[in-house]
Amino acid sequence: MNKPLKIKKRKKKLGSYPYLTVVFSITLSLFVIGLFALVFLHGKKLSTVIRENLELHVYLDKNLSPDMMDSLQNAISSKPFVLKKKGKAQIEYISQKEAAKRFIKETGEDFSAVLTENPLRPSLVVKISSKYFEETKMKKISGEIKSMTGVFEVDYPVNLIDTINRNIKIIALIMLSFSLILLFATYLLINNTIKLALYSQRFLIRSMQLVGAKRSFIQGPFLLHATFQGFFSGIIAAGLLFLLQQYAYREIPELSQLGETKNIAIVFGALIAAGIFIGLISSFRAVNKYLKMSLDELY
Amino acid sequence: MTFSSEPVVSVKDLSIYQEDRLILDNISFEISKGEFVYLIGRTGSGKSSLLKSLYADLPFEKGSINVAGYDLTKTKRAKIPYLRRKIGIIFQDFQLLHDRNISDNLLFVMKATGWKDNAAMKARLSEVLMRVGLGAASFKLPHQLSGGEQQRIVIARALINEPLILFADEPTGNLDPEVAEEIFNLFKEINNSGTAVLMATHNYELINKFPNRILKIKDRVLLDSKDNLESNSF
Repeated sequence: MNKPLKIKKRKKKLGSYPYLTVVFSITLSLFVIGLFALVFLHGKKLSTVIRENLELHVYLDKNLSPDMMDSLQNAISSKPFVLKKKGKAQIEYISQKEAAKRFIKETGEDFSAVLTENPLRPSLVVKISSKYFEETKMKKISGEIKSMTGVFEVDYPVNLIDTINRNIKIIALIMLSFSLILLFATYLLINNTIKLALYSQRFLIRSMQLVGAKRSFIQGPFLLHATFQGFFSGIIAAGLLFLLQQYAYREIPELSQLGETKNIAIVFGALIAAGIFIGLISSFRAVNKYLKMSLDELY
Repeated sequence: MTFSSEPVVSVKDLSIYQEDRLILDNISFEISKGEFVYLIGRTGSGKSSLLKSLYADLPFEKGSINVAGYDLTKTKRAKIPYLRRKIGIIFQDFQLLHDRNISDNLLFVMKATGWKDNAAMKARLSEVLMRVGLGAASFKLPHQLSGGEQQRIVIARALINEPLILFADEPTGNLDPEVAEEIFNLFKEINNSGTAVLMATHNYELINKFPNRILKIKDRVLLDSKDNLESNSF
C-alpha cells in the first residue's frame, strides 16, 4: 500500500508574516543610522581634542623676578578661559634654558656657539578651553593677557581657528541633514515593509472582525511580533557596528582614543529602542489601516 | 436568560448611500425573535449594503438601526465586536481559513471572541458540528470538503456564540439545487430552535417551496410582504 502523501502546510498564524525580510530591512536601516551616529561621535570627539589642544604662547619679559612670575601665572590660571583638568589649570612654564633646549632640539642649530646671550624669552604655554575656540574671543583673551605686567607678547594660530571652525560647521550641517533624510527614509522603508507583509493577512484580520474579535485581540499578536523584530534588528545592528568598530580600531589605533564607551553604549541602546519603536508604530498603523478598510477596499 | 418581545432588528427611516448614490431611501422594518425573513431584489439593488449596515460594516447617513439590543447610531467602534458576537454572519466572501482544519477554524473563532475554557470550547465545537451534521469533519481541511459541506461549516461558525439572528447573503448561491435545499433545511432547523434568520437570496424556487415573510428592495424602497398581502407584488 502506498503511504499517504504528507503535505506539511504552514499555518498562517495571526501576526506572523515574512519575518526575515522585515528583520533584514530594519537591521539594515538601523545599521546605517548607527554608523552615522558613530562617525558623528568620533568626529565630535576629534573636534573637541583639536579645540582643547589650542595653545596660547605668552612670551614674558626677560628680567621677570620669580615673585612677579608667580603672581602672573596665578593671575592667568584664575581666568575662566584657561582649560582645567581635574581642577588644575593647564599652564606650562618654559624657562629661557628650556626654550633654548627645545629650539636646538627642533632645529638642530646650536646658537650658543655664535651668540653669548640666550635671545629666547621665557614663556607660558596656556591651553584654552574649547568654549573659547573663536577668533573674536581669542583676540579678546590675547589682548587681556598682553595688558598684564611682565608680558611681552602673545601668540596663537590665528588662521587655524577660523578654518577649523568653518569646517566643523559644514561637516556637522551635512551630517545632520543626511541623518534627518536617513531617519525619514528608514521610517518609510520599515513602514512599507511591514505594510506589505501584513497585506497577506488582511483577510484574516477581516474574518476576525466579522466574528466579533476585539481590536486589541487582533492587534496584539502583530504588535508583539513587531516589537520582537525591532528588538532583534536593533541587537543585530548594534552587534555588527560593534564588530566594525573593533576592526576599525585595530586598523587605525589612533581612532580608539576618540571612542567614548559611554556614548557608544548609548548609541547601541538607542538603536535597539528605535527598532522597537519604529516596529511598533509601523505595525500599529498598518493593522489599523486594514481594520478600518471595507471589504471592497480590501480587494 | 430574559425573554422580551422586543424585535431583534429594528430599522427606522434608514437611508444608505454608496459613495454619492442613494441606494436605499427611507426604509423601515422590524424582525421579531425567531422570525424567518427573505430579502430579495435585483442584483445591485442594495441587499448586501443593507445587510452590511445591519452588522455595522457600512455606515448609514440617515435613520436608525437597532440590532440585538445595540443602537447602531450610538454604538461606539469598540463595542461593535460585542454586537457581532450576538449575530451570525454568512456570506460568500467570508470563507473558512484554508490553511487550517475545520476544528482549528472554529476554535480560532472561539479564541477571537473571548472563549478561554478548553473543555467548554471542545464541547461547543462538537455541538455546532453535530448541529450542521458534520460531526466527523473536524480534522479535515476546508478543501477536502464539498461546497455544501463547506457552507455547513460556515453556518456552524456563525452559530458558535448562539446568535440571536443569522444574516445570510446568498448562502445557496454556488450550490446545486439539491445541496441548496439541504442547506436551506439546515437554516429552517436553526430557525425552528429560536434563531431569527434574514436571508438575502435569488433562489425563488426555495422561496415558493418554503414561503416566509419577504422584504423586497425595489427602486430604493422596501416592500414588506406583511404589509402587501397581494402576492403578485413579490
